Amino acid sequence: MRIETILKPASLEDAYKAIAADKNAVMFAGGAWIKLTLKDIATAVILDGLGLERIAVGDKTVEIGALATLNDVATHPVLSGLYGGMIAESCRRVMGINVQNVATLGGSVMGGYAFSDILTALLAADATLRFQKHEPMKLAEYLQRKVNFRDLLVAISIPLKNGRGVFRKIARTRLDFAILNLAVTNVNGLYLIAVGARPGVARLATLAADRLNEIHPVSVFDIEKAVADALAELDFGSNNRAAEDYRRALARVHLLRALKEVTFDDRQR
Amino acid sequence: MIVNVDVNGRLRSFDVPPGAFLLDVLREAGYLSIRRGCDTTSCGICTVLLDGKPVPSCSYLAIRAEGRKVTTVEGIPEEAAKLARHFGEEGADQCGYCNPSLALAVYALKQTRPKATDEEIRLWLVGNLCRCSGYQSQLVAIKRYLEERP
Repeated sequence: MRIETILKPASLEDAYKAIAADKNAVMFAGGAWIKLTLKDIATAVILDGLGLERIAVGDKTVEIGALATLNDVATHPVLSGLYGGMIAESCRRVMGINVQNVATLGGSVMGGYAFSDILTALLAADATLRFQKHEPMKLAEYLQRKVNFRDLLVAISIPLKNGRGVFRKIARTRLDFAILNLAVTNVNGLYLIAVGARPGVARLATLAADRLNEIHPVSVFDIEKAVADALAELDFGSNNRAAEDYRRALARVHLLRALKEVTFDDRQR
Repeated sequence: MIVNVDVNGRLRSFDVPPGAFLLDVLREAGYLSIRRGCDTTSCGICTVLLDGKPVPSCSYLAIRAEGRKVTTVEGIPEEAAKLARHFGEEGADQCGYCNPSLALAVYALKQTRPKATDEEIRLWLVGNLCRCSGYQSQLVAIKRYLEERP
């Protein structure tokens, strides 16, 4: 791998100008797996020193700077408890501590990787992306956009709400990418259900969640119906990690468990 | 490009090409305990401590280390010797290729979680591959090391 020029902008605006002026310029988030993804880079833009690594807790949201590492998130006192620690857990399940110390939340989001555990958890947390130029955008909307979207991600905003959350990653080994991952939240009876590594990029099962949101109180029967709805709504496929049928079988079992976990207390389960 | 880095407590200036990675710069400077493994961020063999935190040097641009503290196993000789003794007593290593990176990761664990449980040790080291040991004897040795008083 070869890099010809490195730019270290002094401000976010300068960083944006650098990537806007050169459509081939590559922003460096964490650098994990960079050697696998790129051969030669004419211009690399380093974003260190711009304050993007900060995690700020406000009254209504937690703003996670795009350059916050997975370990920063995993060990953050507020994020460790938010939605049952779901987001922190998704970060802890990525590779080992050395990768968690370089890989960033921004890199995970902007990469839009199909295997990503982080995207699944962020979807279920109703994350909003804040850019340098574009208006804020829900992560779910961003992932569905197929247009060439070129901007500097500044922060990922997570609503601070009291709710339950569960993240699950199913993989052959701790170090491997997921065969399937899923995240579910329940905030005052409003559910979000996200499934990733199907092997496609993480998606919300909106129809299943919307139907569940209309029911109060939710019964085991309703949850079983929601799981069936989610399986019908989401696409599953095969790759070298697992076959489509196996992924569906895993999703059926783990979604059922996760939805029960965020709905009932221990005795009711 | 000139990069100024504190390596093992000594300020060093390196003249590096723009795309140089920390692994290559440190090895060329003589820090040969750092080894190249997969070279793709996956195996942990190239681990160094950056401001006390384990990172894969194979994928970390040298320029990003400007003004920061890098620790290699040469910088923690006493702790490395202690861990090596426990590794020897427990038969925890064979070829030794991964030992420097493992020593740094375990040293960082001791600074962060000196009373780490078995599960926490396993999770911490999940990204440090060893193709010889099977890990169980390493776990025992690491526990002995963590229990040792300073």
